[in-house]
Amino acid sequence: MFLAKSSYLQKIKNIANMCKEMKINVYIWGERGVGKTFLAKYISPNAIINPKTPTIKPIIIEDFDKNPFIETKNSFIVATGSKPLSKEKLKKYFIMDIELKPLKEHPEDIEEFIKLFSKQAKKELKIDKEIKISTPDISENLNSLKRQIYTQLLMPQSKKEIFKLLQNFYAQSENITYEEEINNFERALFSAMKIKYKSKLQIAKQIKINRVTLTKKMKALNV
Amino acid sequence: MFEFWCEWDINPLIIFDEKGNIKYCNQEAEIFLSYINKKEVYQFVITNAPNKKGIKTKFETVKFKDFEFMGYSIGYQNNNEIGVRFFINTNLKIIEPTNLEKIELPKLLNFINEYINLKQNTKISMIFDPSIPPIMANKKEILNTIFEILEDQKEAKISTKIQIGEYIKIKSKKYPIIEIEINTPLKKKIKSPFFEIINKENGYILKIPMIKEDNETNNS
Repeated sequence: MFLAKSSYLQKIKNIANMCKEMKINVYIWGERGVGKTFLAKYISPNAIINPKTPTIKPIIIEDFDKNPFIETKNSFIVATGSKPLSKEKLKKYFIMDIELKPLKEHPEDIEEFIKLFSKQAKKELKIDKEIKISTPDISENLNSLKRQIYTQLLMPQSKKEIFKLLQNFYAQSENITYEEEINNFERALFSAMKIKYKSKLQIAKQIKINRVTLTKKMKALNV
Repeated sequence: MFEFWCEWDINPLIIFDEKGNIKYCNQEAEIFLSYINKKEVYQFVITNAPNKKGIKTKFETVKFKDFEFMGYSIGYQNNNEIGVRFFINTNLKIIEPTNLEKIELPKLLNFINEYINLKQNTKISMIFDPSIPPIMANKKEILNTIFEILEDQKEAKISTKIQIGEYIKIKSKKYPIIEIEINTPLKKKIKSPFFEIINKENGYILKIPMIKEDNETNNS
Protein backbone atom coordinates (compact mmCIF):
# COMPACT_ATOMS: atom_id res chain seq x y z
CA MET A 1 0.00 0.00 0.00
CA PHE A 2 1.33 3.41 -1.00
CA LEU A 3 0.09 6.16 1.31
CA ALA A 4 -0.14 9.55 -0.27
CA LYS A 5 -2.20 12.28 1.34
CA SER A 6 -0.02 15.25 0.44
CA SER A 7 0.08 16.47 -3.14
CA TYR A 8 3.85 15.85 -3.05
CA LEU A 9 3.50 12.12 -2.31
CA GLN A 10 0.61 11.85 -4.77
CA LYS A 11 2.93 13.13 -7.49
CA ILE A 12 5.60 10.63 -6.45
CA LYS A 13 3.03 7.82 -6.48
CA ASN A 14 1.86 8.80 -9.94
CA ILE A 15 5.41 8.83 -11.30
CA ALA A 16 6.20 5.54 -9.53
CA ASN A 17 3.17 3.91 -11.17
CA MET A 18 4.38 5.08 -14.58
CA CYS A 19 7.94 3.84 -13.89
CA LYS A 20 6.47 0.49 -12.86
CA GLU A 21 4.35 0.19 -15.99
CA MET A 22 7.01 1.35 -18.44
CA LYS A 23 9.93 -0.28 -16.60
CA ILE A 24 11.96 2.90 -16.33
CA ASN A 25 15.32 2.66 -14.58
CA VAL A 26 15.23 5.02 -11.65
CA TYR A 27 17.55 6.14 -8.86
CA ILE A 28 15.77 7.08 -5.63
CA TRP A 29 17.64 9.21 -3.11
CA GLY A 30 16.97 10.93 0.16
CA GLU A 31 17.89 10.96 3.84
CA ARG A 32 17.50 8.01 6.23
CA GLY A 33 14.03 6.62 6.75
CA VAL A 34 12.20 8.46 3.97
CA GLY A 35 11.04 5.20 2.38
CA LYS A 36 13.53 4.73 -0.48
CA THR A 37 13.56 0.92 -0.43
CA PHE A 38 9.79 0.85 0.00
CA LEU A 39 9.39 3.00 -3.13
CA ALA A 40 11.93 0.85 -5.01
CA LYS A 41 9.95 -2.31 -4.13
CA TYR A 42 6.73 -0.58 -5.14
CA ILE A 43 8.18 0.24 -8.57
CA SER A 44 9.76 -3.19 -9.07
CA PRO A 45 7.93 -5.67 -6.80
CA ASN A 46 9.52 -8.80 -8.29
CA ALA A 47 13.08 -7.51 -8.24
CA ILE A 48 15.97 -9.23 -6.50
CA ILE A 49 17.38 -6.91 -3.84
CA ASN A 50 21.19 -6.54 -3.83
CA PRO A 51 21.86 -9.73 -5.84
CA LYS A 52 25.07 -11.53 -4.94
CA THR A 53 25.46 -13.16 -8.36
CA PRO A 54 24.76 -11.70 -11.82
CA THR A 55 21.17 -12.04 -12.92
CA ILE A 56 19.06 -10.92 -15.82
CA LYS A 57 16.02 -10.45 -13.59
CA PRO A 58 14.94 -6.96 -12.44
CA ILE A 59 17.13 -5.79 -9.56
CA ILE A 60 17.10 -3.28 -6.73
CA ILE A 61 20.48 -2.01 -5.53
CA GLU A 62 20.65 -0.26 -2.17
CA ASP A 63 23.30 2.36 -1.32
CA PHE A 64 24.17 2.67 -5.01
CA ASP A 65 26.06 5.91 -4.33
CA LYS A 66 28.43 4.09 -1.96
CA ASN A 67 28.86 0.71 -3.64
CA PRO A 68 30.65 0.24 -6.92
CA PHE A 69 28.29 -1.00 -9.58
CA ILE A 70 28.98 -4.29 -11.32
CA GLU A 71 28.23 -4.31 -15.03
CA THR A 72 25.01 -6.15 -15.66
CA LYS A 73 22.62 -6.83 -18.49
CA ASN A 74 19.52 -6.13 -16.44
CA SER A 75 16.94 -4.25 -18.37
CA PHE A 76 15.16 -2.96 -15.28
CA ILE A 77 17.22 -1.47 -12.46
CA VAL A 78 15.98 0.52 -9.50
CA ALA A 79 18.55 1.81 -7.02
CA THR A 80 18.57 3.81 -3.83
CA GLY A 81 21.09 6.07 -2.15
CA SER A 82 21.46 8.94 0.25
CA LYS A 83 23.00 11.43 -2.16
CA PRO A 84 22.24 12.55 -5.73
CA LEU A 85 24.39 11.04 -8.50
CA SER A 86 26.42 13.07 -10.97
CA LYS A 87 24.63 13.75 -14.27
CA GLU A 88 27.02 11.40 -16.12
CA LYS A 89 26.56 8.49 -13.71
CA LEU A 90 22.81 8.99 -13.63
CA LYS A 91 22.61 8.98 -17.43
CA LYS A 92 24.82 5.89 -17.68
CA TYR A 93 22.69 3.59 -15.56
CA PHE A 94 19.32 5.29 -15.15
CA ILE A 95 16.85 7.46 -16.97
CA MET A 96 15.89 9.65 -14.05
CA ASP A 97 16.13 10.20 -10.32
CA ILE A 98 13.52 10.83 -7.65
CA GLU A 99 14.36 12.72 -4.49
CA LEU A 100 12.29 11.58 -1.53
CA LYS A 101 11.98 14.56 0.78
CA PRO A 102 11.99 14.22 4.60
CA LEU A 103 8.65 13.94 6.41
CA LYS A 104 8.97 17.42 7.88
CA GLU A 105 8.55 18.80 4.35
CA HIS A 106 5.20 17.04 3.84
CA PRO A 107 3.74 16.82 7.38
CA GLU A 108 0.22 16.15 6.02
CA ASP A 109 1.30 12.52 5.59
CA ILE A 110 2.41 11.92 9.21
CA GLU A 111 -1.09 11.12 10.54
CA GLU A 112 -1.63 8.55 7.78
CA PHE A 113 1.69 6.85 8.55
CA ILE A 114 0.81 6.73 12.26
CA LYS A 115 -2.46 4.97 11.40
CA LEU A 116 -0.70 2.53 9.09
CA PHE A 117 2.13 1.67 11.49
CA SER A 118 -0.31 1.33 14.43
CA LYS A 119 -2.42 -1.10 12.42
CA GLN A 120 0.66 -3.08 11.38
CA ALA A 121 2.07 -3.15 14.91
CA LYS A 122 -1.22 -4.28 16.47
CA LYS A 123 -1.49 -7.11 13.96
CA GLU A 124 2.13 -8.15 14.33
CA LEU A 125 2.30 -7.94 18.13
CA LYS A 126 -1.24 -9.27 18.62
CA ILE A 127 -2.04 -6.33 20.90
CA ASP A 128 -5.44 -4.76 20.72
CA LYS A 129 -5.23 -1.35 22.32
CA GLU A 130 -5.43 2.22 21.12
CA ILE A 131 -2.39 4.45 21.26
CA LYS A 132 -2.13 8.19 20.91
CA ILE A 133 0.95 9.87 19.46
CA SER A 134 0.79 13.53 20.46
CA THR A 135 4.36 14.44 19.43
CA PRO A 136 5.42 12.30 16.47
CA ASP A 137 9.14 11.55 16.41
CA ILE A 138 10.23 12.27 12.84
CA SER A 139 13.91 12.83 13.64
CA GLU A 140 14.73 9.80 11.48
CA ASN A 141 11.59 10.10 9.37
CA LEU A 142 9.57 6.88 9.08
CA ASN A 143 12.17 4.85 11.02
CA SER A 144 11.82 6.86 14.22
CA LEU A 145 8.05 7.18 13.82
CA LYS A 146 7.65 3.41 13.49
CA ARG A 147 9.93 2.83 16.49
CA GLN A 148 7.89 5.28 18.55
CA ILE A 149 4.63 3.49 17.73
CA TYR A 150 5.99 0.01 18.54
CA THR A 151 7.52 1.26 21.79
CA GLN A 152 4.31 2.91 22.86
CA LEU A 153 2.31 -0.18 22.02
CA LEU A 154 4.63 -2.40 24.04
CA MET A 155 4.54 -0.10 27.08
CA PRO A 156 2.75 -1.51 30.16
CA GLN A 157 -0.64 0.09 30.56
CA SER A 158 -1.93 -1.13 33.94
CA LYS A 159 -0.35 -0.88 37.40
CA LYS A 160 -0.30 -4.67 37.45
CA GLU A 161 1.80 -4.76 34.27
CA ILE A 162 4.13 -2.10 35.64
CA PHE A 163 4.47 -4.02 38.88
CA LYS A 164 5.39 -7.20 37.00
CA LEU A 165 7.83 -5.33 34.80
CA LEU A 166 9.58 -3.71 37.79
CA GLN A 167 9.60 -6.98 39.70
CA ASN A 168 11.28 -8.64 36.76
CA PHE A 169 13.71 -5.77 36.36
CA TYR A 170 14.75 -5.74 40.05
CA ALA A 171 15.12 -9.50 40.06
CA GLN A 172 17.68 -9.24 37.28
CA SER A 173 19.42 -6.06 38.49
CA GLU A 174 22.46 -5.75 40.73
CA ASN A 175 23.89 -2.88 42.77
CA ILE A 176 20.61 -1.11 43.27
CA THR A 177 19.93 1.06 46.27
CA TYR A 178 16.68 1.96 47.93
CA GLU A 179 17.37 5.69 47.73
CA GLU A 180 18.24 5.64 44.03
CA GLU A 181 15.14 3.70 43.09
CA ILE A 182 12.86 5.93 45.17
CA ASN A 183 14.46 8.94 43.53
CA ASN A 184 13.87 7.45 40.08
CA PHE A 185 10.25 6.80 40.92
CA GLU A 186 9.72 10.33 42.26
CA ARG A 187 11.48 11.88 39.27
CA ALA A 188 9.17 10.02 36.85
CA LEU A 189 6.08 10.87 38.88
CA PHE A 190 6.87 14.60 39.28
CA SER A 191 7.91 15.15 35.69
CA ALA A 192 4.73 13.47 34.43
CA MET A 193 2.63 15.59 36.79
CA LYS A 194 4.46 18.70 35.67
CA ILE A 195 3.43 18.01 32.07
CA LYS A 196 -0.12 17.24 33.16
CA TYR A 197 -0.86 19.97 35.72
CA LYS A 198 1.74 22.61 34.86
CA SER A 199 1.78 24.42 38.31
CA LYS A 200 3.24 23.07 41.55
CA LEU A 201 0.16 24.20 43.41
CA GLN A 202 -2.02 21.97 41.24
CA ILE A 203 0.39 19.01 41.48
CA ALA A 204 0.48 19.28 45.28
CA LYS A 205 -3.30 19.40 45.40
CA GLN A 206 -3.80 16.47 43.02
CA ILE A 207 -1.26 14.02 44.48
CA LYS A 208 -1.88 15.16 48.02
CA ILE A 209 1.57 16.34 49.07
CA ASN A 210 2.69 19.47 50.85
CA ARG A 211 3.62 22.16 48.32
CA VAL A 212 6.85 23.13 50.14
CA THR A 213 7.91 19.45 50.31
CA LEU A 214 7.08 19.04 46.61
CA THR A 215 9.12 22.11 45.63
CA LYS A 216 12.09 20.89 47.65
CA LYS A 217 11.93 17.40 46.16
CA MET A 218 11.56 18.66 42.59
CA LYS A 219 14.54 20.95 43.04
CA ALA A 220 16.63 18.17 44.54
CA LEU A 221 15.68 15.76 41.75
CA ASN A 222 16.25 18.42 39.10
CA VAL A 223 12.74 18.07 37.66
CA MET B 1 13.45 11.37 -70.91
CA PHE B 2 14.81 14.75 -69.68
CA GLU B 3 11.45 15.57 -68.18
CA PHE B 4 11.40 12.14 -66.46
CA TRP B 5 14.78 12.81 -64.82
CA CYS B 6 13.77 16.32 -63.78
CA GLU B 7 10.51 15.01 -62.35
CA TRP B 8 12.19 12.40 -60.15
CA ASP B 9 15.31 14.33 -59.19
CA ILE B 10 15.92 14.19 -55.43
CA ASN B 11 16.54 17.97 -55.47
CA PRO B 12 13.56 20.32 -55.69
CA LEU B 13 13.31 22.04 -59.08
CA ILE B 14 10.92 24.96 -59.63
CA ILE B 15 10.32 27.20 -62.65
CA PHE B 16 8.49 30.51 -62.12
CA ASP B 17 6.98 32.87 -64.69
CA GLU B 18 7.70 36.62 -64.60
CA LYS B 19 4.82 37.16 -62.11
CA GLY B 20 6.04 34.58 -59.65
CA ASN B 21 3.54 31.89 -60.59
CA ILE B 22 4.80 28.32 -60.74
CA LYS B 23 5.07 27.00 -64.29
CA TYR B 24 6.64 23.70 -63.32
CA CYS B 25 7.84 21.90 -60.20
CA ASN B 26 9.07 18.34 -59.76
CA GLN B 27 7.87 15.77 -57.20
CA GLU B 28 10.38 16.84 -54.55
CA ALA B 29 9.51 20.52 -55.01
CA GLU B 30 5.83 19.70 -54.64
CA ILE B 31 6.47 18.42 -51.08
CA PHE B 32 8.68 21.44 -50.37
CA LEU B 33 6.04 23.89 -51.62
CA SER B 34 3.31 22.27 -49.58
CA TYR B 35 5.12 23.62 -46.49
CA ILE B 36 6.79 26.78 -47.78
CA ASN B 37 5.04 29.78 -49.30
CA LYS B 38 5.88 30.09 -53.01
CA LYS B 39 6.18 33.90 -52.66
CA GLU B 40 8.95 33.41 -50.13
CA VAL B 41 10.80 31.11 -52.55
CA TYR B 42 10.24 33.44 -55.49
CA GLN B 43 11.56 36.35 -53.47
CA PHE B 44 14.68 34.34 -52.68
CA VAL B 45 15.10 33.45 -56.39
CA ILE B 46 14.76 37.06 -57.54
CA THR B 47 17.13 38.35 -54.85
CA ASN B 48 19.81 35.77 -55.65
CA ALA B 49 19.38 35.57 -59.46
CA PRO B 50 22.46 36.13 -61.67
CA ASN B 51 22.87 39.63 -63.10
CA LYS B 52 23.09 38.33 -66.65
CA LYS B 53 21.31 35.50 -68.45
CA GLY B 54 22.70 32.12 -67.42
CA ILE B 55 23.02 30.03 -64.30
CA LYS B 56 24.38 31.03 -60.90
CA THR B 57 25.33 28.19 -58.55
CA LYS B 58 26.23 28.81 -54.96
CA PHE B 59 27.06 26.39 -52.16
CA GLU B 60 25.81 27.91 -48.98
CA THR B 61 23.25 26.86 -46.40
CA VAL B 62 19.76 28.00 -47.30
CA LYS B 63 16.94 27.59 -44.81
CA PHE B 64 13.18 27.71 -45.29
CA LYS B 65 11.54 26.86 -41.96
CA ASP B 66 12.49 23.20 -41.36
CA PHE B 67 14.02 22.71 -44.81
CA GLU B 68 17.74 23.14 -45.04
CA PHE B 69 19.67 22.99 -48.32
CA MET B 70 23.38 23.05 -48.91
CA GLY B 71 23.20 25.23 -52.02
CA TYR B 72 21.21 26.28 -55.08
CA SER B 73 21.33 26.99 -58.81
CA ILE B 74 19.27 29.86 -60.19
CA GLY B 75 19.08 30.45 -63.93
CA TYR B 76 17.17 32.10 -66.76
CA GLN B 77 17.42 32.40 -70.54
CA ASN B 78 14.78 35.09 -71.08
CA ASN B 79 12.76 37.53 -69.00
CA ASN B 80 9.63 35.33 -68.93
CA GLU B 81 10.90 32.38 -66.89
CA ILE B 82 13.35 31.78 -64.06
CA GLY B 83 14.25 28.45 -62.49
CA VAL B 84 15.76 27.28 -59.21
CA ARG B 85 17.19 23.95 -58.10
CA PHE B 86 17.96 23.52 -54.42
CA PHE B 87 20.60 20.98 -53.42
CA ILE B 88 19.54 18.76 -50.58
CA ASN B 89 22.01 18.05 -47.83
CA THR B 90 23.55 14.73 -48.72
CA ASN B 91 25.58 14.31 -45.55
CA LEU B 92 24.79 10.79 -44.44
CA LYS B 93 22.75 10.63 -41.31
CA ILE B 94 23.34 7.17 -39.96
CA ILE B 95 20.52 6.20 -37.70
CA GLU B 96 21.12 3.18 -35.51
CA PRO B 97 17.90 1.91 -34.01
CA THR B 98 19.12 -0.16 -31.07
CA ASN B 99 17.57 -1.23 -27.75
CA LEU B 100 14.10 -1.01 -29.18
CA GLU B 101 11.13 -1.44 -26.90
CA LYS B 102 7.44 -1.08 -27.53
CA ILE B 103 6.34 2.38 -26.44
CA GLU B 104 3.14 4.36 -26.47
CA LEU B 105 4.14 7.92 -27.20
CA PRO B 106 1.27 9.69 -25.36
CA LYS B 107 2.04 7.66 -22.22
CA LEU B 108 5.74 8.44 -22.47
CA LEU B 109 5.11 12.16 -22.98
CA ASN B 110 2.63 12.27 -20.10
CA PHE B 111 5.28 10.70 -17.94
CA ILE B 112 7.74 13.42 -19.01
CA ASN B 113 5.18 16.05 -18.08
CA GLU B 114 4.62 14.56 -14.60
CA TYR B 115 8.33 14.13 -13.93
CA ILE B 116 9.32 17.61 -15.12
CA ASN B 117 6.53 19.06 -12.95
CA LEU B 118 8.01 17.34 -9.92
CA LYS B 119 11.59 18.40 -10.65
CA GLN B 120 11.25 21.93 -11.96
CA ASN B 121 8.76 24.68 -12.75
CA THR B 122 8.26 24.15 -16.46
CA LYS B 123 4.85 24.81 -17.94
CA ILE B 124 4.24 22.13 -20.54
CA SER B 125 1.34 21.93 -22.96
CA MET B 126 0.84 18.91 -25.19
CA ILE B 127 -0.96 18.02 -28.38
CA PHE B 128 -0.98 14.38 -29.45
CA ASP B 129 -1.73 12.93 -32.83
CA PRO B 130 -4.14 10.11 -31.92
CA SER B 131 -3.37 8.22 -35.13
CA ILE B 132 0.18 7.36 -34.00
CA PRO B 133 0.28 3.65 -33.16
CA PRO B 134 2.50 2.05 -30.47
CA ILE B 135 6.03 1.94 -31.92
CA MET B 136 9.35 0.23 -31.31
CA ALA B 137 11.82 2.88 -30.14
CA ASN B 138 14.74 3.51 -27.82
CA LYS B 139 12.80 4.67 -24.76
CA LYS B 140 15.87 5.64 -22.74
CA GLU B 141 17.26 7.83 -25.52
CA ILE B 142 13.94 9.58 -26.18
CA LEU B 143 13.49 10.31 -22.48
CA ASN B 144 17.07 11.47 -21.97
CA THR B 145 16.92 13.72 -25.03
CA ILE B 146 13.65 15.36 -24.00
CA PHE B 147 14.82 15.78 -20.38
CA GLU B 148 17.95 17.45 -21.75
CA ILE B 149 15.88 19.78 -23.95
CA LEU B 150 13.53 20.72 -21.10
CA GLU B 151 16.27 21.30 -18.55
CA ASP B 152 16.01 24.85 -17.14
CA GLN B 153 13.20 25.77 -19.55
CA LYS B 154 10.29 27.81 -18.27
CA GLU B 155 7.78 26.81 -20.88
CA ALA B 156 7.43 24.23 -23.63
CA LYS B 157 4.85 23.07 -26.12
CA ILE B 158 5.13 19.46 -27.20
CA SER B 159 3.27 18.07 -30.20
CA THR B 160 3.42 14.82 -32.10
CA LYS B 161 2.49 13.97 -35.68
CA ILE B 162 3.24 11.57 -38.49
CA GLN B 163 5.23 13.48 -41.08
CA ILE B 164 3.41 12.86 -44.34
CA GLY B 165 5.55 12.29 -47.39
CA GLU B 166 8.79 11.90 -45.45
CA TYR B 167 10.50 8.57 -44.89
CA ILE B 168 13.70 7.26 -43.41
CA LYS B 169 15.66 4.35 -44.82
CA ILE B 170 17.10 1.89 -42.31
CA LYS B 171 18.76 -1.23 -43.67
CA SER B 172 17.16 -0.65 -47.07
CA LYS B 173 13.69 -0.52 -45.53
CA LYS B 174 11.58 2.64 -45.66
CA TYR B 175 9.84 3.85 -42.49
CA PRO B 176 7.43 6.77 -42.06
CA ILE B 177 8.59 9.41 -39.60
CA ILE B 178 6.99 10.47 -36.35
CA GLU B 179 7.88 13.97 -35.32
CA ILE B 180 8.01 15.10 -31.71
CA GLU B 181 8.18 18.86 -31.90
CA ILE B 182 9.20 20.74 -28.78
CA ASN B 183 8.72 24.48 -29.00
CA THR B 184 10.94 26.08 -26.42
CA PRO B 185 13.91 28.47 -26.56
CA LEU B 186 16.94 26.84 -28.17
CA LYS B 187 19.52 26.92 -25.37
CA LYS B 188 21.86 24.17 -26.57
CA LYS B 189 22.54 22.02 -29.62
CA ILE B 190 21.30 18.49 -29.10
CA LYS B 191 22.28 15.46 -31.18
CA SER B 192 21.54 11.76 -30.99
CA PRO B 193 22.97 8.72 -32.79
CA PHE B 194 19.59 7.01 -32.51
CA PHE B 195 17.39 9.47 -34.37
CA GLU B 196 17.60 12.79 -36.19
CA ILE B 197 17.13 15.95 -34.14
CA ILE B 198 16.50 19.27 -35.86
CA ASN B 199 17.68 22.20 -33.75
CA LYS B 200 15.76 25.26 -34.90
CA GLU B 201 15.17 28.79 -33.68
CA ASN B 202 12.01 28.07 -31.71
CA GLY B 203 12.85 24.58 -30.52
CA TYR B 204 13.62 21.04 -31.55
CA ILE B 205 12.14 18.31 -33.71
CA LEU B 206 12.87 14.65 -32.96
CA LYS B 207 12.34 12.48 -36.01
CA ILE B 208 11.59 8.95 -34.85
CA PRO B 209 11.25 6.12 -37.37
CA MET B 210 7.83 4.53 -37.10
CA ILE B 211 8.88 0.92 -36.55
CA LYS B 212 5.79 -1.02 -35.60
CA GLU B 213 7.07 -4.52 -35.07
CA ASP B 214 10.01 -6.00 -33.23
CA ASN B 215 11.18 -7.98 -36.26
CA GLU B 216 11.05 -5.02 -38.62
CA THR B 217 14.76 -4.39 -38.09
CA ASN B 218 17.39 -6.93 -37.19
CA ASN B 219 19.09 -4.60 -34.76
CA SER B 220 16.44 -4.74 -32.11
